[in-house]
Amino acid sequence: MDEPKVGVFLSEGGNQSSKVLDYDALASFAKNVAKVVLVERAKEFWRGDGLKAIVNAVKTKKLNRVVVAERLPKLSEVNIVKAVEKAGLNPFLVEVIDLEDHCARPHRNKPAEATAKAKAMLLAAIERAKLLEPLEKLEFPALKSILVIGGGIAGMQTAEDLAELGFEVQLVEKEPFLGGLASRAGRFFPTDDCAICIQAPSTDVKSITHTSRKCVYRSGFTEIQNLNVLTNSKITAVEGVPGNYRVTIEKKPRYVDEQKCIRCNLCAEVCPVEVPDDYNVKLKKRKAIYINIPEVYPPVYVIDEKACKFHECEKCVKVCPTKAVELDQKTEKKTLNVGAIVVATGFEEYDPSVIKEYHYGEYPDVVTNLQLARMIDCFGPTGGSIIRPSTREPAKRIVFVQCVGSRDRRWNPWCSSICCMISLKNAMLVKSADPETDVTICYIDIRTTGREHEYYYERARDMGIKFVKGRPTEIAHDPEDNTLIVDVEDAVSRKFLELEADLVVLATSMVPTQGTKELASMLGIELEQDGFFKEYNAKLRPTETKRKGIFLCGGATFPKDAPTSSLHAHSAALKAAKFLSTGKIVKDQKTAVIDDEYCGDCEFCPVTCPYGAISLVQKGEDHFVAQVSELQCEGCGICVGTCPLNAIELRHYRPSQMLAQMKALMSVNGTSKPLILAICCSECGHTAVDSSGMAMLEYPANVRVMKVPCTGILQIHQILEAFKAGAQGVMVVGCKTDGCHYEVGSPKAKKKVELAKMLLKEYGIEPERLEMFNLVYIEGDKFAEVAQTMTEKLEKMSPLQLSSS
Amino acid sequence: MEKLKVAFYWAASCGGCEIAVLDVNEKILDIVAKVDIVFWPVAIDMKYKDVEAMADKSIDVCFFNGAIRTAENERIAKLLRAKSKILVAFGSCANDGCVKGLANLWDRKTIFERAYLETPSTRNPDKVTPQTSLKVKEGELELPEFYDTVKTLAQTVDVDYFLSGCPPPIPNIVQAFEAVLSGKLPPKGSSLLPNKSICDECPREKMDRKLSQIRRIYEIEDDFKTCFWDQGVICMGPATRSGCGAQCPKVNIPCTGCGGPGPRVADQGAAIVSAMASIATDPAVIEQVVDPVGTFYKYSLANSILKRKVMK
Ligand code: SF4
Ligand code: SF4
Repeated sequence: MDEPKVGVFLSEGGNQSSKVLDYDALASFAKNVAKVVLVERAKEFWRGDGLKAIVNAVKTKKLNRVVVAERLPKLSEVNIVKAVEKAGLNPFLVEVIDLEDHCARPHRNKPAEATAKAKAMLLAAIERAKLLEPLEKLEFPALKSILVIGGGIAGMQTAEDLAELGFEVQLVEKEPFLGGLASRAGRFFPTDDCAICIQAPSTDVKSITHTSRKCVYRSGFTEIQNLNVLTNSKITAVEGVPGNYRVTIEKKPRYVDEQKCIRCNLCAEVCPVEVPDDYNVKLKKRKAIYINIPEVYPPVYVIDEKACKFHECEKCVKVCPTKAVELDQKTEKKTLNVGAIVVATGFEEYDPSVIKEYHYGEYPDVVTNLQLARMIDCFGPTGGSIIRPSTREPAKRIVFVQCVGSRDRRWNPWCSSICCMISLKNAMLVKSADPETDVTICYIDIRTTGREHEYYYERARDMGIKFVKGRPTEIAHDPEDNTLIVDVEDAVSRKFLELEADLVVLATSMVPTQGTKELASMLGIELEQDGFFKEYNAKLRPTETKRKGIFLCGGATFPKDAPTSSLHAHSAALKAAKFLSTGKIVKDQKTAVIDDEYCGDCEFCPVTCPYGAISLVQKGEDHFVAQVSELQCEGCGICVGTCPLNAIELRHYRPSQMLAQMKALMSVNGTSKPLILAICCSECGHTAVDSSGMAMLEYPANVRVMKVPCTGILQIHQILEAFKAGAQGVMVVGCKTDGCHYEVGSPKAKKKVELAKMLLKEYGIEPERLEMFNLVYIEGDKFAEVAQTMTEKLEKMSPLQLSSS
Repeated sequence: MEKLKVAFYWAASCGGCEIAVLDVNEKILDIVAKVDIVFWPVAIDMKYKDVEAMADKSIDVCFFNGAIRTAENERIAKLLRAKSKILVAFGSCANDGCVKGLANLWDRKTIFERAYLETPSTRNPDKVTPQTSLKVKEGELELPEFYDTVKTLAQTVDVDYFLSGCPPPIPNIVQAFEAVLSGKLPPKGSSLLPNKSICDECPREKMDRKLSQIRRIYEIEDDFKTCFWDQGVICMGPATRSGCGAQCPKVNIPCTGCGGPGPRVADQGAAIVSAMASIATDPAVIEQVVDPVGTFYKYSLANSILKRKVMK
């Protein structure tokens, strides 16, 4: 890199800065800083003539570093950077600071102090600018193909959207048939329409109508171009990078040729093996060769490997009129290269047998909502009648128990959010089929937060369904007359009730599907504490993960009703499409780099990176070094704040740049107060400083702000350096610990600050000289307040005198 | 060919570095055949005045171990610097202050009070503490001044090469001799140890790096193969310069950091604490740290950013 030639542009247009700051002094100060070749002043520099002046100076004066003091840098910077880039200078060689909101406004009543601080700020910007390096734009290829994992309502809709948008879509379902949990639910609330009804593809050519929704089996779903469905298949490995993931899939044999099977059912008729039917939650038996319900995809029988006697029997082989049964089929392994992956693995019912007081699994007439739904379904095990599994007689007295395994710290603390509505739906379906049935729902709270849901609840009450507010303490069984007795205290009537029932239905909690953990680790994505997949950000990026190119939808992130799952599915499709639409991923080089020479393979950094951007690569025989993927790195610097060898640096925030900046900020005081370095993250921390200025709040000018990408980059030695450089106090200002823009940075900084306090104590330095504050943008008032109280606190201490140097 | 003139010196040190030189074993014979040892207080009877009498830069290489604790240490450091072409800071004390550096948590006054007055085994009714000079009837007795702050060699004089460790690893000592003999030396200011950390040489297996609890070595049942950090035990390995071949972890003792900070690191203690905070899953681990300075700065307090406790 050439010798730095810095141009400094001072905008005097700020309402306060023009009044408060001594621009003559600032300009002559800047002129005297080494490597500054030009200082210009104007009303504004971010547009019009000001901007032209910068461009012109870059060209004619051959500036290779540009420092601009301008208002609202978070807005003006965009313009300045673009213009400078057009003028031929790398945009990363520009540094923009804010003398208005960060200096003139908060210190407007102390002009001399404000000017002194402005000098320090200018010097810091110049020193940093001198050390900046040009960064390039990076491009990575991205395949226009997508893998969707999970063939339930969410996965199918995402797959359909994406295939119709022209992406090559592979839909992988672990079960032999599509449909997922939703298809077993029979009906959906609050519309009570069939669960197998899905959004009809726009390419539907088969039916005479073009309505927007259709049953899965007549929707033409499977005929959509670019969509390939792999049932009976699971993911066994995922490698590669965003834009090109290499996925290994194991497709279990069906033992029935998909092309030849004509669904005549002759095979099932002759099959001698009967096993409990999982699809119907064991309410009936099925044969070893079977199909779930007639309307399924693929419309092909399947052999249950665990049950079939294979060549010992061969009855089905003999009877099949089309010779479709092939007992020697083998598991196939496939590898696919896809640009992105959408996880739509849904949720499942919690197994309530662990809740001993409800005796599920022990008393046959205690069932779950899903079992009841199977009974209600006319394709189900009872052909639509509601029976007591113990006797197969009609159930006339039914008690629902809500929150089974939900909202209970012993099992799952969360509200599964849809079970109230599911019970209401099932209770009403039962009641409308036979108004004589006595139906009671025991609940803690009925949660009907969706549109139409409260009316649904009212309707249930109108139909004569009874409600008891209380969580049953025990389900007992009277063997004399085979009656179930539900013990519950009704909080409304304050009576202890013993409800007699033929059938008790447990509204069980909803939990992540089996295999979620393994899948998460294969994909390198995180789970929430509840075990569901964790989204990037619940508010803004609900269907994305921190790993680029991996998306989530439907119940995989939390139990959802059908409308929400669908919404989610379309959102995930849009995000995935956006990610791959241009066939390349473009990003800048604001990334971390690890120097091979110094990395000692402690393997700390890979686990601290919130984006899984760091992996280990082999160097020499059995040595490893960590390496950052430029594609996946988001440039937060959390790894930098981890590395005990300083082997990692951010290209745009080198330690040398930060140190130079810090020393400059501490080099001029100009106030009678103790200098404070405020290390602020560029997200909430720095913007809280902005907002305190915008709100015209005052705080003392001894507080000097240094911006870093995320407080996670903080290293304890920087705090010590700050004290050495003359700081009497250090404030670390980051996002809320649960609101960090890089998720883990601010909580990590908090721990570092606590540990640093411990060290300070050992050094004989008051630990109170160091504090962390967690703010959000709108807490400018808090920033001003803590800056003030911190100053007052330090003023009460005797000045720190370090004997070292 | 003229033999290479070599000097060894010990300032504030324990003598371990001298032993390490002898630990070179039979190689010492090859070395001795090629060098003349012109000064080595521990082995050869020579006086300071003999060194003073030497011409400047007449010693080819001086291996200097020990920290700068007293005026005498400082004087001889300066003397040997002047007399030597190459000055090597040898061992942790000379490089980083080592355990002697921990005295920087106190100062002369508090150290003297503790050592000469307060320790339970001391009987000192006249409250005598060391003085730099004392008149007795035979004349004036002198003791070198005891400084408030222990310094490293490089904080005192210009150092050419650094070979740290407590003591330095034997293979690196041999290599250092060979480099000097062959004249194939790295650029001035280099360390003669590798640039990596102990982990690079450690055979223990690194697992998930989630620190939920800190335990001391006696509180765990070591499985002899998992990285100490994954067993909740603090190990200085990640923040310590390698070269020793991870000797301690190999015999089931966590690294205590004698190799000193990594080449780019100004503060070994701060470095490991930052790393530790980054992998801590529970803020409560902070309270579980016993003796922070003794753990994180055992060898490097005198060579840290702040170097010592603030003197009141
Ligand atoms: S800078 Fe952040 S995103 Fe990049 S590798 Fe480091 S921790 Fe990961
Ligand atoms: S933290 Fe530093 S030394 Fe450890 S593996 Fe990462 S880069 Fe290497």
